[in-house]
Amino acid sequence: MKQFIRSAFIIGLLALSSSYADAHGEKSQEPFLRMRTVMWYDVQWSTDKVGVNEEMTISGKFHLFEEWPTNVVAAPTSAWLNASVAGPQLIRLATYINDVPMLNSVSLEIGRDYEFKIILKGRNPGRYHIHPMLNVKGGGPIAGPGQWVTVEGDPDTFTNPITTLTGQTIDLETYGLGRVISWHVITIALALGWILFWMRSPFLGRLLLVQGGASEEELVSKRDRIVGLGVLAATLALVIGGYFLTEAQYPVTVPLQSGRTPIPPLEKPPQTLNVNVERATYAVATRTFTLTLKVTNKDQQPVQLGEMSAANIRFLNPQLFKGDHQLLVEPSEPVQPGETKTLKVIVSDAVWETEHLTMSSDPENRFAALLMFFDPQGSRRIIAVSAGTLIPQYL
Amino acid sequence: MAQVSQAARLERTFDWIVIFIAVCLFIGAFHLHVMLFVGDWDFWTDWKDRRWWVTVTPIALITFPAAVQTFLWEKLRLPFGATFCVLLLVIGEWLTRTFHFYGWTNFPLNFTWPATMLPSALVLDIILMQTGSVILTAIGGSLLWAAMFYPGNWPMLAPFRVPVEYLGSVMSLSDLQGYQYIRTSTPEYLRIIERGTLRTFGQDVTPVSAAFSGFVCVWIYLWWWAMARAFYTTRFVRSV
Repeated sequence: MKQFIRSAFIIGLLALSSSYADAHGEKSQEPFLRMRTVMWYDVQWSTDKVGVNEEMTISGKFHLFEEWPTNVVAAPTSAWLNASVAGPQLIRLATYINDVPMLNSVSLEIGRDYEFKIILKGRNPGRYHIHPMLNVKGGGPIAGPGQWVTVEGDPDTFTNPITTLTGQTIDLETYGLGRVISWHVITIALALGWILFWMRSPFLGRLLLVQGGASEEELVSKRDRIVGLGVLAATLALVIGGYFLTEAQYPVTVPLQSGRTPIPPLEKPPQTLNVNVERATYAVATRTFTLTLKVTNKDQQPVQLGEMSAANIRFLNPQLFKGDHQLLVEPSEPVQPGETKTLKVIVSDAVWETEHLTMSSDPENRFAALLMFFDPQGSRRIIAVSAGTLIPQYL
Repeated sequence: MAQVSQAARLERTFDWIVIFIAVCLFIGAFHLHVMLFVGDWDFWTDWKDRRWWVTVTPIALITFPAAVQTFLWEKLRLPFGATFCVLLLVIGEWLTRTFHFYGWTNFPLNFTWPATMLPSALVLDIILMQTGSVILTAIGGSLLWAAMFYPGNWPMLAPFRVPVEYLGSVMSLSDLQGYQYIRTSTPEYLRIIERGTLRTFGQDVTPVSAAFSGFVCVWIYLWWWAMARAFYTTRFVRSV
């Protein structure tokens, strides 16, 4: 008994000490999937606090990587712009890709860029980690960066008014529920009545009667059959009558709609930079990622590497931007017009471990990122780069 | 007299014990079976189409009713096997939709309400009672079972098929529910619904689906009837 109490106490202590589960598994997705499929950038949330019935927007862009891993993830010929949130805590009012409303799934082109916008409306108070997400048929969900958003207010005040093509304005939150419940109550009452009719007297004893060869009339009397016919007639009348009455009440209906929406990608800007990755390494002991690049500047302006974005993490050059994660460029001087230069991009950051990006335990171990070069006027050139295997350095 | 009265009370008590066990068993087992085989088609209004939902649901649902009918009719001459199974299923489904879909994950109940096959179940039971014939019940009963599914649910479904213009497209209110109430694991392309390829019969998808479903139900009914006969036994009763 004491042993039991002691064990229960220890288990209870352990349960109390467990930390709050802060994320919803995005780090568990393989690093190559997060890097080499949908490359999200310029993602912004209009607010981190929204009231019930208030709107917020997530917007940004994504690039579909040229070397999409079609050996493991199907190409995005059927894709759906979604929001990763814990259920309908906010509702989706609208989604757009390149200003085209996304009501159906879409076919997207590898190697191209798209602009997206998701408009949400607060519904259920709470704190939620919300990401833009692209579901790809044959690939699954590919989430973008996430941000905590708090929904405040009274959930009972939530409404979702919609005006139909028949001129009715309804609240989609509760529309039709009364009718559903009524129909179920009627059919359940009829069914229950039928069952209780037969259970009005003890019934297990019938087992012996049947085995003993009792007559049909003794087991199912004429009265039972008349009641049965009555219930049959009532059921058929209910279904047929209910159907035609409903047809009269709702003369205008459409079947479920399906289809595909064609979306042209954003125009490709002229390519004025050539960037080749020569080597990518990761020093395990110091958590240092090093990318060796050969950059050829065919532009009229000098350019400097300002940002590297990989797996939804933004590494920023402190010479140009402030950010949580920094990168170092050697040599740090801009690449001049017409110049070919070898750059070393060095990132020493625990995020490689905390975000499970080291790839050492994955069979597919290839790095990819979006590199953003900026000229002195702040204009940006975005290049998607791919490295071969990320070489770990243990010594 | 006192002994007879006591025996009757005992018999009745035993009845209730058996009923309680049967209720728990079938709410669990049949409901699980339906969740696995029908699943999304019953969970959401935007999966209740004219083709797959109409075809799959009657086929998946005739199984347990056929087996329970076998036992209850052949052993007890009680014609409520199908009704019993489907009633418990509906109760189980409402419990799940209310406490899990609505209470836990906040999906509105008007998006996740369950379909009903109670009218079909009543008809199946009464045909068996009136004819006393397995073959007539399998053929006539199963065909009616499938045929009554769509009209038996249309009073609930019709309001959700009212069209709306949304973001420049025509949608039904069900489509709009599916669009607005976010499901992260159910992207639009995943919906197994009528995509407009059943062109041979023009617009009348539902009767074709129901007819095919009915045809398959006949065989499923006979199969589960045979399985129940193979497995039920009351040999032990004689020795009690």
